[in-house]
Amino acid sequence: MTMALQQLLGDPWDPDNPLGHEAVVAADEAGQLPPGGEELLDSYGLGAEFVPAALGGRLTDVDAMARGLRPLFGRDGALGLGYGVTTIMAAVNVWTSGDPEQQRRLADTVLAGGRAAVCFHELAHGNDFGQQEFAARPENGSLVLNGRKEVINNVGRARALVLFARTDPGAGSRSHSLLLVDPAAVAPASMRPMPRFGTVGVRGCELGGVEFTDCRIPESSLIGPPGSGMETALRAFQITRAALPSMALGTLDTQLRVTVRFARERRLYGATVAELPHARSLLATAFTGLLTADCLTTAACRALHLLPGEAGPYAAAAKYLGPRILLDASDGLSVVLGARHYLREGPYAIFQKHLRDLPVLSLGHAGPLACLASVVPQLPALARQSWANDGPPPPDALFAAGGPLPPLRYDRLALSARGRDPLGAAWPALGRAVLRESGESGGHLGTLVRLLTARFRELAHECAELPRPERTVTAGPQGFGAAAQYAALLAAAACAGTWLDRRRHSDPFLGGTAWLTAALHRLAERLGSAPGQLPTAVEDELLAELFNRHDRHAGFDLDRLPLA
Amino acid sequence: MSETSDLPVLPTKQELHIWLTQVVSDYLGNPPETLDPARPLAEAGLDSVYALSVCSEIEETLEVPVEPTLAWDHPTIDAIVDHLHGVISTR
Repeated sequence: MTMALQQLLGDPWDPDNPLGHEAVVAADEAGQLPPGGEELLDSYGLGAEFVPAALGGRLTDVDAMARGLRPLFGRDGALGLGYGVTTIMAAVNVWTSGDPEQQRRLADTVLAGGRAAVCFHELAHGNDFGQQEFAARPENGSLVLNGRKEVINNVGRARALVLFARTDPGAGSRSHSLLLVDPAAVAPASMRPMPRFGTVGVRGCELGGVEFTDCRIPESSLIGPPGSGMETALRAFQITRAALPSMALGTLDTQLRVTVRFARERRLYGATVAELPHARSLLATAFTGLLTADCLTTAACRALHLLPGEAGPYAAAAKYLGPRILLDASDGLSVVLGARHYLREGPYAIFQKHLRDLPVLSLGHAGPLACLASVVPQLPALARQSWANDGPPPPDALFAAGGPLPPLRYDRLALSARGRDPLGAAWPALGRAVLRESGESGGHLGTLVRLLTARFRELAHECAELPRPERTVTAGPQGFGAAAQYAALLAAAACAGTWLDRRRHSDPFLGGTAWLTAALHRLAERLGSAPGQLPTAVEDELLAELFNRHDRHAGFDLDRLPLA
Repeated sequence: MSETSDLPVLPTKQELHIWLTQVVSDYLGNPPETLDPARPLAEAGLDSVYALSVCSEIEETLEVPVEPTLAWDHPTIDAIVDHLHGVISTR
């Protein structure tokens, strides 16, 4: 899909391309999506990427779907979010728990180019969905809706709404249900759009609200049994938590590409910026971050298929750490660009547009703390049951980015991994395998592997002993800190597994130790354990690869696909 | 703080009750005597994700498989104890 989509999007540097950088920046200035952009994606039939193959779409594989959308995010995050992502966020709930009729209806709507809006959010309650007030009251065989949903993308244009509603006044997690509503089928006076919310980033996205007043919908609108809303959402959203940061790699790719171009053109202090040590370090770090995030998000997406019951923590880690890495890389690149990083016009203006879009991709749909919060309660069981033992290793296919996968079993996505963690628990063994294969036990790579393994053992001990009050959403720094560290260690395991896979395939760059050394070095830094400086030779090798890919118009991620 | 279980292999309902009340008390930071065993735990502050943690601990300590939604579907201490006692007795 990626190649065809690249062709469709055309040359980003062509000023006449309606989806080129210049046009995208202009549309963003106007607070709109690029004119013609959605129509172009319609003509491509992009909606089919979000509909399961069994229902007539092309969705078979979350990893492939996410990778396939990277070019779109590389062009315009608002178009990516607005066209596709919010639809898939709504749809996963229906693919997970909808009845055949609901699935058929939604599939038909999306395949015909209709948008779906996912209506969970109320400003008063944020991610604390359990406290929500938007209510659906049963009455004479119907449900009556009252309340508001706010800061919802596409709500004014959607042909299908997936609403999270309170269906029981009691406290607790069986008091909410999901509803599938066709806005065209409700009494017009009962549903009122609210004014658009202006945002700093993704300015082309239509973030609106909707207010329902005594709106009557059929009882058949319920997705799954009454009271199953929270459960469905926590299971279905694992798909989008893993996929969204994977798609967002496209955004960093463009930022990195633009910065490399600038760095090799711009001369300062008698050299190009690309020859200045500090700039080189920032470029190499951003490239490293992109590869690291690719390894982590890929493992999370593939785990949904290969390890469905255990994938929850991986998806949460991907959604927490992936955007964090991308944002840090983006910040680093803005330093390289200097003043140009905040200019809203000129050849590098696309950089600041992506800079502003990235935080939305992080916050939208389960912010970082909410993701960590879903992991914190599981840490003691993961530590006690998995990390101390040499359990079964993760399947090799987990690290084979873009490779074949068994079908996604939506019904096997689980609320808790129940102490099972094949990926995290594999870190010590993966680290040892890396040193064996590379022969670099005595070098910097060896030092990093040993440091990370020591940290892993310490974390296992801390998590096994985590006091009860620290194991929940209201945990303090100890609980959240442990979850953040766990995410970094998962990333290390994913990088090591990916390296071993590429080594087996004799990949000259990805099977070489430079990128892995850099990746583990930066992850060790996140864990507070970094040993001094990354060797310059490692950095030089990364930059040689980076500049080479830039000149060949190849992607900066694991796939290295040719760009338009 | 040691969290080794004080439960025998085949606990009575009363032993389960005392243990579970202490566990929940630790999570919520409220003394055990303030917890009403017939009142929904969600009202006492045990939110959906917290409840998953409690279920995980029950599963580990009792060594019986427990659905993560146990505390959602059996929302009071009394209800959880009744259910668990039934599971343990029949294993």
